[in-house]
Amino acid sequence: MNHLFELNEVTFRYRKTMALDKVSLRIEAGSRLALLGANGCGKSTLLRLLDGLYFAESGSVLYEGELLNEHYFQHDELAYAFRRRVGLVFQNPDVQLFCPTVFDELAFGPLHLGWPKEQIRAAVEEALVHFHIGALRDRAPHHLSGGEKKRVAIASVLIMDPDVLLLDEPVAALDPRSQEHILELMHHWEGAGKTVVTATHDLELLEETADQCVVLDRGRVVCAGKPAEVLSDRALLQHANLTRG
Amino acid sequence: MSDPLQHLLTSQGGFLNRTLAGLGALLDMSAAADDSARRGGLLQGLDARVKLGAAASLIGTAAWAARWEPIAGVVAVAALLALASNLPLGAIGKVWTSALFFTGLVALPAIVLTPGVELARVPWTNWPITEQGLRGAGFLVGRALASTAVCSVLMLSTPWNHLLKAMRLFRLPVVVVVLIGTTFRYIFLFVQLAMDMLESKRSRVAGPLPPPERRRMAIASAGVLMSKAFELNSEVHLAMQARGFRHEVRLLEEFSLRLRDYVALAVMALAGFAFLMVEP
Repeated sequence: MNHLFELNEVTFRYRKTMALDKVSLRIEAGSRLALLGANGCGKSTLLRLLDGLYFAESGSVLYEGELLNEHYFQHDELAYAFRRRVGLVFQNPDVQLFCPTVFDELAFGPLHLGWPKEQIRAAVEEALVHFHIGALRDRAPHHLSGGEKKRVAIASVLIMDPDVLLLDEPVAALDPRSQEHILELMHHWEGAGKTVVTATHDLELLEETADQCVVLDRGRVVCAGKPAEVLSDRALLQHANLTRG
Repeated sequence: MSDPLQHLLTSQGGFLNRTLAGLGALLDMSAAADDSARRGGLLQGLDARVKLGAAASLIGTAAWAARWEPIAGVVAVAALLALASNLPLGAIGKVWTSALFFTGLVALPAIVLTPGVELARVPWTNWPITEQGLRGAGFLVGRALASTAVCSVLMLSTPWNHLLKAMRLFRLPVVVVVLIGTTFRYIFLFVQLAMDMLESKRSRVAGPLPPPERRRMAIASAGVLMSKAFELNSEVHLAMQARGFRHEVRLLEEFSLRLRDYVALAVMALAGFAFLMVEP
């Protein structure tokens, strides 16, 4: 049986700095997985490998049994299908919000995936209502607050209704109310049996956002299991710099 | 209560304060322009393409005119439209005064350098002021004022992104429109980044720095900002790729002409015709 994602002994380096060191991992369709680890442990890099933005230096990343490499993304049909089904929300919304207005931002993905223009307009209008960002429709991203930016960034990915959502620190640096908003959005969306992979170092939200978690430390997988099991292992959390010593 | 921005501009903090104040003023100006473009008013309710077309025809009329009346007419139309559109008159006044001042400076030599019928002489230098020189300088200033007036009213009544998309009316390629849009967006991000960097430095600097230290700090900041720009550039490219971008630029144009747009077009066409009738 094919797993949704299958990573085998994946290694990735930024010039001479090792980011991922022989990481092996299986992700099943419909699961909610948290990638747990301190800053710089390789969580963001792993998400980018899963989204086909980076390619493994050695080892392999398989998506539904197909090897994700440069060759895979050279085929327009495969590339568009993949982008349609797998969405990534970046940690820094300023990276992700590059269009002049919120409306254009939401339309960007569907437009570049070749949706008909009428369908795009309808989908954007619906998303503006659904994500409670209608008042921001014509606003420029640089005039939005941190929480608003994050909501727009998530909406700009969810508008494509992907089957797999990769989230990089979705509630980092947000006030409690904005965090609550984002989590509500996520719960609502997950209800449809989607796959969610969340990179985080926030232990408080772990049980709320995941059924399974993988702990990374300096680019290596040091533990995998249910959130409750991982949270009860104080020694492990300390070793991975996730709790105070 | 004193304005903190004004305090920064006038305080003795030197390079850091002046730079911070300049960057802050840029952000404020952009926010103010954005606000006025979204207020309720005559021009704000019109399609950006109609406004752009009308502005181009008014500027053309001012440039083409060989008499004062059409130029004055264009300035008067711009002033009336600004009033009817509830635009910030203070900001418009500043732009118009600057246009008058700087074009006046450029045109000044023409008054004494253009040969023609002598009207008077400049005291002390005894340079001749000619009728043709005065006329030429006056037309240059008048045309510049008319063009600036129309452009300022257009820019303050139209969200800049609509204006950018409306440029497609003049067959501007999609890639150029998208490129300018993204550049504009990231200029603000870098301004914010530069402000954060300078503010953090300011919080650690007590008293004025010696000039060589200030220069060193400015160069170091520029270097850091540039390296951050490169980093951000590749991140943004990845974010675009993640949402299906495959190096083919696409744009969703969302304009639609309504009855009031057709009425505005007809009024502008009539105004243009009336101005032409004034011409000899």
